[in-house]
Order: sequence, then C-alpha cells, then structure tokens
Amino acid sequence: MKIDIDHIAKLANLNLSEDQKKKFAHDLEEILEYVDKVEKVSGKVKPPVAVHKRTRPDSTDNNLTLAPEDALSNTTSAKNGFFVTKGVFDEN
Amino acid sequence: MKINSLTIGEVGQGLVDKDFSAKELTQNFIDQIKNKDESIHSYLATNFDIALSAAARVDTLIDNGEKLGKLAGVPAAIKDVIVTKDLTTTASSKILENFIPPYNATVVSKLEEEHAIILGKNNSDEFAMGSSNENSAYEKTVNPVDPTRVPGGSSGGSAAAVAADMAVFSLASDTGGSIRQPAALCGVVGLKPTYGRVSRFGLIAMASSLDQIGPITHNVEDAAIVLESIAGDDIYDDTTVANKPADFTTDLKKDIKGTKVGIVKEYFGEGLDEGSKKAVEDTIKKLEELGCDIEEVNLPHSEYALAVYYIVMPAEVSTNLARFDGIRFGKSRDFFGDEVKKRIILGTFVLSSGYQDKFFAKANLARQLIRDDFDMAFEKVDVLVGPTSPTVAWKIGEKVDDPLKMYLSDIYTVSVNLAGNPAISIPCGIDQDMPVGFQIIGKHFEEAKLLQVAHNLEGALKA
Amino acid sequence: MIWDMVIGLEIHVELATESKMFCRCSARYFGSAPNTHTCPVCLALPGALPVPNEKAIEYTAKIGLAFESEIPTISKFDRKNYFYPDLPKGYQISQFDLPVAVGGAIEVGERKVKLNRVHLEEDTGKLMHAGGETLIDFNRSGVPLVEIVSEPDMTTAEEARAYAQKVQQTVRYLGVSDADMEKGSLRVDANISLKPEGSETLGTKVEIKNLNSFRSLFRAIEHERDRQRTALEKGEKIVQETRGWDEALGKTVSQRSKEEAHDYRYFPEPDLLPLGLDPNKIDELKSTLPELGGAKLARFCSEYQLSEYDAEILARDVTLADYFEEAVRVGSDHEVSAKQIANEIINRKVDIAEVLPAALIESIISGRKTLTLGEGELEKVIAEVLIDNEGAVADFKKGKENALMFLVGQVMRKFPEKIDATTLKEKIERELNKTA
Repeated sequence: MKIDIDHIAKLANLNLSEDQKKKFAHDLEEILEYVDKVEKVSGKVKPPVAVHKRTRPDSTDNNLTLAPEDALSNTTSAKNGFFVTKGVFDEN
Repeated sequence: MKINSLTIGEVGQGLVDKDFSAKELTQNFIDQIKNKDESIHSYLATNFDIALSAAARVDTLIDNGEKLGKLAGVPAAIKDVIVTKDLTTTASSKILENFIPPYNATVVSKLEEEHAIILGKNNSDEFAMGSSNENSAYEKTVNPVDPTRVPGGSSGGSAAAVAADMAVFSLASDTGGSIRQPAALCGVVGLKPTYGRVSRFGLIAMASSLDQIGPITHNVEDAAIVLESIAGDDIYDDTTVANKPADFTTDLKKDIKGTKVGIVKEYFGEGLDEGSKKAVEDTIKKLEELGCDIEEVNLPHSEYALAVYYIVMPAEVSTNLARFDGIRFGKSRDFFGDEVKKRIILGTFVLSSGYQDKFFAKANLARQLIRDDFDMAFEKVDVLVGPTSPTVAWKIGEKVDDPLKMYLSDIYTVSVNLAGNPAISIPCGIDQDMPVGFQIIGKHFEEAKLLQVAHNLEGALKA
Repeated sequence: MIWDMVIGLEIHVELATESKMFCRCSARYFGSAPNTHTCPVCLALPGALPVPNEKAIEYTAKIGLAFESEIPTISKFDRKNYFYPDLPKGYQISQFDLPVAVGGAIEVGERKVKLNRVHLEEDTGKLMHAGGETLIDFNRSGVPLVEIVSEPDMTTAEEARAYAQKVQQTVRYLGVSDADMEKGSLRVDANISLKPEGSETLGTKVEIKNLNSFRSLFRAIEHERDRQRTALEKGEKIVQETRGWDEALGKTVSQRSKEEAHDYRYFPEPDLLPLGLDPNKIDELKSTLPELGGAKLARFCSEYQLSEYDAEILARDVTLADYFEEAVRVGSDHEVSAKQIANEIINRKVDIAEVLPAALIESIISGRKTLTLGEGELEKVIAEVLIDNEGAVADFKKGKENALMFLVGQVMRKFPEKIDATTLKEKIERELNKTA
C-alpha cells in the first residue's frame, strides 16, 4: 500500500528530508502490509459504555495553575508575558 | 553484603538496625553510578545533591523516632518519560533537551511522600518507542549482564540500572511490553499494573489507552511494595479507577495451592527460541510442584495483536506528540528522531480520511476481540503464563535495520496492554548465558493474586 | 433566475463556569494579564491529562433542553486534530458523533428553526499579531465552549439575526453565559449558499467568520448573498471556502490556504471516559429550567394584560422580568395595576438596581395626585413631543382629530403622575395652531 507521504507529513506538521521520505515510505509500506491483516476481522464494535464515576465539580480548589514565570520557564522567546511564534496570518 | 544489592525490605531493616544511615546508603549508590554508568549509560540526569539532602532528612526522621514512609531512604530512579519538577525530563529525545518541568507527575509526588530517594532519570528509547533502547537520542544503554547486547526497551535504562545495582528500583512505563521485556532481558522483575490502577498524570503520553507506569525491581516483594505506594485513583487522571483496594503485600506469601494456571497455546508457536522455551516449560513444572492446576488455554485472536498495536499505538502517538511544536517548550519538530517521526506518520495515516475505517476502526474491533479472549480465558483460570520475550537479549545493532523484526520482540507482551490486564515478568532461567523472563498475566485489578503467584514461583526458582 | 438563500449558523457560547473545561484553572480570564490562568493541562505540557468539568456538561444539557433537543444517555469526547499556534495540544477536545444534545429547534418569529446538535468543547488561546510575530496568551485555552449548530434552515438575514439574538437571550436567561459578542463570549459563524428557487439541491456553501455584532451578521449575509448571486449569474462556480467579514470594507474576503479542507481525523478521546447522562439527572435539569423568554412574554401579555410591546421589553431580561413581577405582587396590595407598573418602569426608565419594588410602588401611589408642574416645564415637553411626532402634527393639520388625542397621550406618557387631560389638550392645540 502506497502512502502519499508528502500529504501525510503536511498533516502531521513534519518536515522530512528526501532521504527520510524514501526510507519511511519503504518501512511503512512493509508495516502496513503486515497490519493489513486486521481487515479479516469481522463483527460489531460494542458501543461505549458510560462509566459513572466521580466527575469533577466546578471549582478552582486543588488547581495546578502556574505562576506566569513558571508557565513561560521553558521558552527563551517570551515577550511581555506572551509566548511568541513566527507570524501567522491565516485567521482561523 | 553489598548494600546496593539490597531489597526494599532489607533497606528498611538496615536503617532501623542502624547498619547504615540513609545518607551512607545513598552515597553508596552515587558511587556505584559514578563507577559503572559510564559504560552502561542507564542514567540521563542525576540528582545527587538533592538526593543526599533527602537522605539526610530521612536520617533525622529515624533519629527522632518519627513515622517513616514505605520507601524511606530507598534510592530509586525514574524513567525519563515521567516528569519530575525542577529536574530535566527529556523523554530520551533531543526535542526536550533541557526541558525542566514546572510540575511533578503524581507517581513522583507519591514516592516523595513515602520518603524514597530519587537518584536521577533513566535512559530509554526516545518517547518510549522501541524494544532495545537503541532509539535513545543520547547514549545507548547496554545490558549489564553482557555489554555487547541490548538491555531491551523501551525501559532499557531502568532495567539496566536495577540489574547493575545502581538503583533499588526504577519507576518505568509499559505500553506494549516496555517494562516487562527489558526486565526479562536484564534478569530483573518488571510489573505492569492494570490499566487505570496507577495515575498517568505526568507520564509523557505515548499511547493513552495503553500506557501504564510500573516498577522494575530486584524481586516480586519489592514490586508489590512499590505498587502499593503508587497505586490509587487520581483527581488529575480521568482513567484511573476508584474503589480498588490496594493491598498487595498482606497475602503475598500465602501459598498458591489450587491456583488455576493457563498456558497460552499461542505463545509457544513459531518464533519462540528453543532455549527460552525450555526455561519457560521448566518453570511451569515448578508451578505444578507448588500445587497449581495447569491447563492449556487459547487466545485465538493473538495473531492480530501486533497488527492492532501498530495501528492503535501510532494513531494515539501521532496526536499525543502534536503538542511538541516548539512554542511553549522544547525545540522544533525537526528534533524528533527517525523512529518517532515514522510512527507519527504511520499514525496520522491510519487516522486519515479514507483510511480510518480500514485501519483504525478495524483495529479497534480486533482489540475488542482480543480483550474478549482474555475475559473468556479468565473465566477458567486465575492467571495466564508464558514467555515474556521470544528470545534472550540480542546483540547491539542486530535488529535496527529490520523494523518488523524489532516489533516482533513484543509479540507476547502487546496483547496484555490491549486488554488492559496486569502482568509481571520474573527471571526464570538462563539461555546462552543470558536471562530468560517468565510472564504471568492476571485478571483486571487482581494484582494481589498475580503477585502472590509470582512471589511463590520466585521462591521455588531460587531454591 | 430567482435564487433562494440557505443559511446555517454555528454559534459558540463561552460558558460562565468557575473553572475551565478540563482543568481547575479559573475560567474568569477576561482582562487578566497574559498567561496568568494556565497550568500544565491547558498549556499542554508533556504528561498533562484532561478531567471534565461536571457543571459545563450540565450547562450544555440545559441549553439543549431549552432548545427542545434530545439528551442521549451516552455522550463522549473526541480529538479534533489540526495544528495552529493557539491550539496547544495540536488537537481540540470536542465532540464528534455522540454530542451532549441532539436535534432540537429554536422559535424565531413564526417559525421554528431546526437544530442539528449542541455539543461541548474547549476554547483555544488568543493570538495577537505584532510585527512579523504572533503573540499568544493561553488564559482562554481550555475555557468551556458550547457549539450550537443549526440545520441549514434559515432563508433571510433577518431570520438569521433574530435566531442569533434568541440564542443570546436564552443562554443569558439560563444563566450559563454572559453571551457578549464584544467580549467574545458569543461568536457566530454563518454558512451561506444559494440555490435556484424551488430546487431541492443545495448549492456550495461558504463559511463566513469574524462577525462581531448582530449588525455585522446581517450585513455580511446580505453581502454574501449578493456576491454569490452575481457570480452564479455570470456562470461562475462558487468555491467552497471560508471568508472573513471585513467591517470596514463592508465585504467578505477570502481567507488564503483553505483550498485543502482540513482532515480533522476525529477519533474518540482516549484520556476521557464516556459520559453517562443519567435520565434522572436530565429530568432534574429540566425542572430547573427557568421560564424562557417566549413563554414569559406570552404570559405577561395574557396575565397582566400588557401590550406586546411592553411585555417584550419586560420579558427580555430575566432580572427585569423578576423585578416587574415582584413589583406587581407588592402593587396588588395597594391597588396599583400591572399596567401602571409597566408604564412606570418603561417610561420613567427606572434604575431597578437602585429602586426596590416597594419603593417603586410608593412613588406610583404618591404620584397619583395631580401634578403641579413648574411654568414652562409642560411647555418644554409639549414642544419636544411635537418635534418627535411630525407625522401626527401633519395629520392634525390635515384635520384628523385623533392625532390630537394621540399627541395628548404622548405627552402624558412622559409623566408618571396624572395630568389634567383637558388642560393639556387645550395647551397642545394652542401650540399646534401657532405653527399653522
């Protein structure tokens, strides 16, 4: 089975080198051939069963809220309390 | 007696008897790590100063006659896929090089509450993806029993650290066999609890519906003690299950006469090494001698397990790793290793439009059937047994170029994660001078029974 | 060629819960400094897990019940996968095939607009563009968001606007959201397509976003209708795309890179157990629903004999409606009628936060005495009324006597206290004749 690796890489937000694309495509084809056997399985999937358990009440008790310095502690590019990334112009 | 070969119980006793102080013990492990780890590479980060302070605090508690935690003064390590506050957590990947979590995983908090001493973070396959630890983006861990061989994976660093007496226990993770298989290959004990038994909050997610945290230890009793310390439902993990009694030590030493043991027929077919097969069969005889009733059971959908795993797991991985975009933490996605990228691509593909019904939906159906197989088998028996791994540890580099061959090393372990059952691997013999692991699988939330059988068997094997 | 317009609206309502949807951070983020309401969960740090907010689920069910939706006993969350800097996990936890509420209908004027579903999801962070960079604040990330999806069942911009206003009124009534379009707690996206009159086949739909007010919604729909009609009449094909409404330019603008439709790869959220919505709980929620706008309006008309105009004003806001009814209750002990109270509240623009119902009744009673006005005060009001009612003035000059009575009434409305009608009529007539 052939994968459109360019399309999938785009969906997965990954940049692959030409070498990587070739190697992955080859390995993945092998894997897909192997996993294809699940096609033979038949039957009906049972619908999800609701498991009634404790649900979380709407309160801020026991919250894990971080001080803003801690929230930003693992980036070097923060500005005035904001996270920063290169310009995105596509309004969603 | 070498104090870094002690079990948890022996450490506790030694501290109380004042054979050594907690600080001395911790220092001993620090020295061991400094001597040995340069060649074994089981640690990625160490925490020595903080560990010694923590040990000093335990000594103070002992001196003041205060109540001690279950793991007081016990030096331990944590697989680097579990977040530790203020201590680097890399998932053995370059993308998280220098990532310092601002919070602790629930299990780490629990270890600290029991006064365990955390020595550092163990190496693993990158993002827990692998069966040999060769996918670590840092140094590759070697098997302490034979350094030309792999320690197994993905918790290879954890298993090696315990096997080489560089930690009394290590807390690791198991998604398709990542605790049990390296434990088998390194000759130590590895326990994967029931899915939902231990909180995953703070475990860097690989496959959310398969991951579980568990201990790698010297013996079964230690595994039981650690499990007691980390088990329990957690308000920060919706998949943990409440109201499950967590006493795994009281009945541990009771005999197992009359226990019904099922041998999984499908686990003794083609692919199982002769040497491993023999060790496992001899071990089954020991169970008979202990008074167990042995019968053969079938798990007819076993042949689909690996295929299901390599659809469901990459699918969940592909979304769990989407948060690594370099904006709030970590480096760009270019810093993922090849195996990680490959699985993300595979997972994205099996979820993509046009393919989801064929792959992901079918895999979920097959998974349900696999789970039904286990449920049906457990109507007849109390535990299931078989080999943990088809072979003993292989030579470094031997399987890296053959992905399917590498994946097949998990063939006896993946079903268990798919079904959610608990399972343990204990050493059961030697083949080609390397340890062989014996896998025991239990019913959901019946780790007490599982550990009881394992403990009794362990004793019989050592005799 | 006559074209029918088909409109569907997707309305997002931010819930007014204490905590966020999947973590315990405060959801009251508006106006806070950036990234001060975040935790490992809503920041999507490695290892974090979601745990659902029970109240958010209840609120969603309430909204569904208010709109006559069915609440199935099982519901679940799904991952909606796409990459965008304001979406920290790289997926949004939303609902795909088992939403909290299914179907339903919203009364808009004479019709009932059919609903497809009401589901629950989490909000994203906020982006700010500065220079060549994008700044991100995750305070809003993880706040509970309810999405109300209509069927493509509306045909005019008026209807769409009225529908959106009804949604706003209802969720405010339920007390689940402040539904403020300016603050972003009510967001409306419109899907618009045209088809030849009478045809059963729907045309290609275009999604319109960035609608910041009901007025924008109205204008954007009309503009888009015209744009599509022009294109279709030229023989052009409508491109399925997302367009943003540009308020300043007064038109919709295509948003680039939408040629490839998102493949969201929805699959069940493995970190969350399916939700069980207990039928008993649902009945309980039903019983706690307040009397909703439409029913209240009808009751005010019939029970208090109010005009539809007055009833609409009083029923519009639940706080005002409750105030009015309390005043009626007090007034009934003092022979003050509901009509008088309505009149007092509406025309005197009473500040209900300041004036207790009892005090209101008192002022009505004391005002029953005939008013003595200062010189010129009445004249001033008469002049105002004449200016405001040119039509009536013209009618009077044409000889319509009724117009005079109308003007008398208009002046009297300006004063809560009674004015001698005869004197007033004379004064107005004098004024009118002055300007003959």
